[in-house]
Amino acid sequence: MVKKFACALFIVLSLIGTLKAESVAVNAYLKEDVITLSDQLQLVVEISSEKKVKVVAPPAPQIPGFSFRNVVGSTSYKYSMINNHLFTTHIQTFTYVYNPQKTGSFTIPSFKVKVENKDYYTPSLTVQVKESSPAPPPQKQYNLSPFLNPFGDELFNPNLIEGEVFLLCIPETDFAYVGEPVIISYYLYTEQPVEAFYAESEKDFEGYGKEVFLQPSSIKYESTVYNSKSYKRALIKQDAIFPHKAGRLQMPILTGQAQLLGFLNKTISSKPCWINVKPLPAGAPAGFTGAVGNFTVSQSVSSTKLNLGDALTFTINISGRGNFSQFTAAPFPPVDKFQVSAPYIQDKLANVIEGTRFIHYTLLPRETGELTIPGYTFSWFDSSSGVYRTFNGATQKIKVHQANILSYFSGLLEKDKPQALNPLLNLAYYPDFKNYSTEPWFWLILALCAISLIISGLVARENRLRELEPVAYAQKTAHRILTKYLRQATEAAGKLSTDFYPLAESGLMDYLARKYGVSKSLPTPELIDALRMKDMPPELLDQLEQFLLQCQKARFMPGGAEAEKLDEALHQLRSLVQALSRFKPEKESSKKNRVATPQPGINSKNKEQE
Amino acid sequence: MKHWIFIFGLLILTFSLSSQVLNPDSLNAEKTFYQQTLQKLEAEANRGVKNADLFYNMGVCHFQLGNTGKAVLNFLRALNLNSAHKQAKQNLLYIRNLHPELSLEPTRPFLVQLFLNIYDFFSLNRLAITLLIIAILLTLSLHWLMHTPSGKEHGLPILAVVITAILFIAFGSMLLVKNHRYRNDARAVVIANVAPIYHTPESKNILQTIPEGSVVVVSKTQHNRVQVILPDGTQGWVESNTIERVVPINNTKD
Repeated sequence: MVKKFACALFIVLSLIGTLKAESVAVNAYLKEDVITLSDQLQLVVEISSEKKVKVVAPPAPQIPGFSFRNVVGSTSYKYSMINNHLFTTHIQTFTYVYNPQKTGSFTIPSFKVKVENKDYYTPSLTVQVKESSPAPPPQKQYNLSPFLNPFGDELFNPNLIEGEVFLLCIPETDFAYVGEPVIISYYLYTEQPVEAFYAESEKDFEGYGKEVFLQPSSIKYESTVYNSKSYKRALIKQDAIFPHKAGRLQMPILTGQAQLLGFLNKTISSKPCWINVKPLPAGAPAGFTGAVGNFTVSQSVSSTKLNLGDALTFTINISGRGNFSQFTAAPFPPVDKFQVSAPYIQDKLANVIEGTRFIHYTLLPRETGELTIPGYTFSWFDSSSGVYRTFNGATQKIKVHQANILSYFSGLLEKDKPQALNPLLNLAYYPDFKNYSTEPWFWLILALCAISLIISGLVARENRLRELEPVAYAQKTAHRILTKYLRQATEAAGKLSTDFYPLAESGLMDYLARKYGVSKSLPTPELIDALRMKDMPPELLDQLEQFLLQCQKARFMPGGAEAEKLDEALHQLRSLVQALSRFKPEKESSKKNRVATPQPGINSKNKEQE
Repeated sequence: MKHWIFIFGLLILTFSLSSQVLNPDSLNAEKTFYQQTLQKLEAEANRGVKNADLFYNMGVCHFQLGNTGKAVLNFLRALNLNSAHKQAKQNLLYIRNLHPELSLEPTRPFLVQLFLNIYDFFSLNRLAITLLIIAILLTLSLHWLMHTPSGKEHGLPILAVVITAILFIAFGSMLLVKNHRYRNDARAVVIANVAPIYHTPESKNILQTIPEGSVVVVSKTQHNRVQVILPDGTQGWVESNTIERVVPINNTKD
């Protein structure tokens, strides 16, 4: 039974292994991107993968202005719990140490990292090297030269080449709760000088996740007493352990090579150590997402007054010490009148377990008025007091105004540091984009503007001509009148036809009827009287009367019309029309005024005419 | 027989467990939601619909699914149609702040940025409407000037004509530039994880690499490689399948 079960388990595990997607991520970063000449540059290449992959340390990239010193490798594992599923990430880290040679800004070019026959490229990085401060404090640096005593004459007897060398794993506490981070320190205890220690591997055990807490770049010794015996000890590494199982858990065993004086290497492993992990008590609050530690929580909103269409940022601030990598944001309380984005988590951590986490939500109001955002609830297990605690944020009142024309300009002076990604727009229909400048109506409006300008320009030109050059204007007007009213008569004159006279009389009467409002059917004497009433000059009246009489004579008297005289008659008609076009009938009001204030000159002229 | 049933049951249990563990859809409901939404939006886009909100939503989905390059590309497409699209602009800035190594936009002095914000505020259609209003004002000013009697003061109508004419020329030029940019935007975005930059179209030596989401300007195409100009002025050639243009070359529809 046991064999079959083991066999089945083996098959299942193999299947899982083949099914599981492999993903590798390569990242590179600088411990510090601004250093001084007395500092060391630490370029860290981090290769993380879902399964353990074998990676050879990539060749150290050449950086102009720096001399390469050393490379240190280490392996760690990161465990995370998402939706009650445990994920393991294997992280291999190579730290390249360089010494700066001159000041300035230097670019570390992208370089290739080969992982399981695949090439990955690191991003290019920039480092700035400044002058050292005038009086730099004396610094003990890790020297790789085998001819120097790295421990100093004060600590070790240089002739001492024998003695114990061992690694101890020291947890900061023997008891912890599930999820509570525990720092374990690996110390190298030695009685003889050790020049360097290269960490090769860590053997892990069940029941915890871990992250590197501190990786010293140099070995610094201190005197200590262990089991009533004096030693020199140096911190090699510190890990943060996140237990996810209750019980007695064995801590990782670190194995590495200690380089002794005289190029002797000694492989040593840390002595086993354990911590006791207590389970979390029952009765976890509803919103508990796995946070364990000591936290202070607060909430804030970016604005309490905004316009419809503007977004506000709702921020939760979680500060303190705890398992930041093990918990996620609690769900945002249900709110109908806002559209809520997915949370954006921003960590500002001093190390993997201490610092501040910001959880940003972007909220878009759906309507105007005074809207309410319920308080955010966040629960955690306080490991120092052993009880669950819950932060219940206060309800926020937000005034949402109708967007006005000014709100269109609200983004012009906006800071370019949005805290969260704006959410999806809730739209059911996406109309195709129309470029207005290619639409017919756009060009029609512009054309109408242009046409109105042309017409207006012509009218303005006419008015100016009438005002400044009345003679030229009269000629032009007469030509128009002849064209409009006397075209047929002019054509008849051109053909030397005696039809000219009736056509000219008819056209002239039509023109006078339209311009002066007199009847077309009036006999000539009454027409002349009617026009005299409109203050038409007597000379013009005479001229008109003579022409009309001439037309009547041609119509009613045999032999009254002679073709030879048509040119002369046409000329008379033209001059008559020109004179008529110059004359403007006065308005009734001005006429009355003039009668009320008679001018002696005019009266005497009228008398003379009578 | 019981043992085999037990083993079979164990296998089924494990398969269901492993499918739960390995299938990202069941792991993350949000991811499924964004994938489904993206499919619908892409169907719209494939029908030829061009809409700033559509591209914006596609950008949000791509970002939530971890495709930074495609997210940047779609936000730029949204801004190409509507440069005043506030959310798209903010999301682009958000990505820039999140990934400072991406050369999306250089940080500019305040006044320059203010001017560019004003320029962006006048999107293509806002610019067209503004130009029409200014054209009508210019027409009215010209009518006023033309019909002012010769004996009267012409200073005010001339001032109105000059101001509206300057505005008309400025906005008209801006509309021409925007229209040209709308049709011939030469920018492209790196959509591959990393795009190696080569010295020549045939070269195999990599000058440098640029990360996903970087914005480059395309100058010419040759032998499946595209000549690009990086924001720092560096010129080089990239494989054409590693980048995607903001305005595709065959895009002739308005």
